[in-house]
Amino acid sequence: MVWASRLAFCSRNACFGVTVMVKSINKMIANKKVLLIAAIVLLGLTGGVAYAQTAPQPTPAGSTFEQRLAQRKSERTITLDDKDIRRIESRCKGSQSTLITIQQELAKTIEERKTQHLKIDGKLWIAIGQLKIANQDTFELEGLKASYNKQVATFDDLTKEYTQAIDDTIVVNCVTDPQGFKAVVETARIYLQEVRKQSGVIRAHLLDSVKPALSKSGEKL
Amino acid sequence: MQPSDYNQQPQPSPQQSTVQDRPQVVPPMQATQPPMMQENTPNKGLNKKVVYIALAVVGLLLLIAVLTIVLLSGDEPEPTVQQPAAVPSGTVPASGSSIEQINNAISQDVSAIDDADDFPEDQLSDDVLDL
Repeated sequence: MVWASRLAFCSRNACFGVTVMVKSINKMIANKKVLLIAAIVLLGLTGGVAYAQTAPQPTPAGSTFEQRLAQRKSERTITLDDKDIRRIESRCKGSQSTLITIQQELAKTIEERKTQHLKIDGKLWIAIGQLKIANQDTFELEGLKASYNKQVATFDDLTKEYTQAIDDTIVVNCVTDPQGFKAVVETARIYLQEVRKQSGVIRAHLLDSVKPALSKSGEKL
Repeated sequence: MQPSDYNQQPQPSPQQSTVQDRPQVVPPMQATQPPMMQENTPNKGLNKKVVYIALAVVGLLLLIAVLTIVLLSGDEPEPTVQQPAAVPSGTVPASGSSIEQINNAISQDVSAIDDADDFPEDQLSDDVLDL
């Protein structure tokens, strides 16, 4: 628009030059847009590739460390340059010491969380029992309790895999196999996020579904 | 035949004891011994069996007596001592307040769960692991 208003005041020859200039500028802007779009698409694709890696699958029961390591390597497809390899080789022993501390704390945390889940389950069981004795309909609450139990079972499975992955990060010979070390660390990171997510699902279920249903049952009495 | 002939018949005369006759004399001796053995063993076996059965019956009676004593002595204190403590709150019919209490207790349990503390997001970050 600015360019068009300026063109109205110019002579014929000069206007020709200006129009050419405007066209080239427009082309440049268009090219920039194309470049920008291409860059965004490229970034999206690379991000997509990063997330398109196969999600870690549960390890088969009774699998050996070598089997699990091979599985994690194939799932994560880690490629390291020389600089990364040197860095991991020089620092991974220290990382494994930290991971041992995490492993010990994790065992306690998971045990406490299990106790907490069992407590909640027991309270739900008591509430349903009391409501049944009072001849109240417990169908909804029983369904919610069943969902809760399923969610807790999923959480337990995920914590099991997370713990296993942490164990593997400690066992792997990180100096001779930096790719393997990186693969199991990445797997453990994914499981950590999954555990957090599942914990959030349980919390949301209790707060948004179970508690309101309990309140509703209490109000009917 | 006279009755005295019966006694004389099994005893062969020395003149009649030829080589062919000897086996006829020996088998009756052998045939008489095994029946005597067979007569003795069933009696002994029977006696043993009777003793065993008697012992088993006595043992069984003793066992039943002991069990009865244990069960009777175990049952007595239960109704008096354990009944008040054994009644769980779950057997009480629901009331508005009891359900509210349970609801509040669940709230406390939920609030006690702290993911940020239990499973920190950066628990395995490069910074924490110094990688």
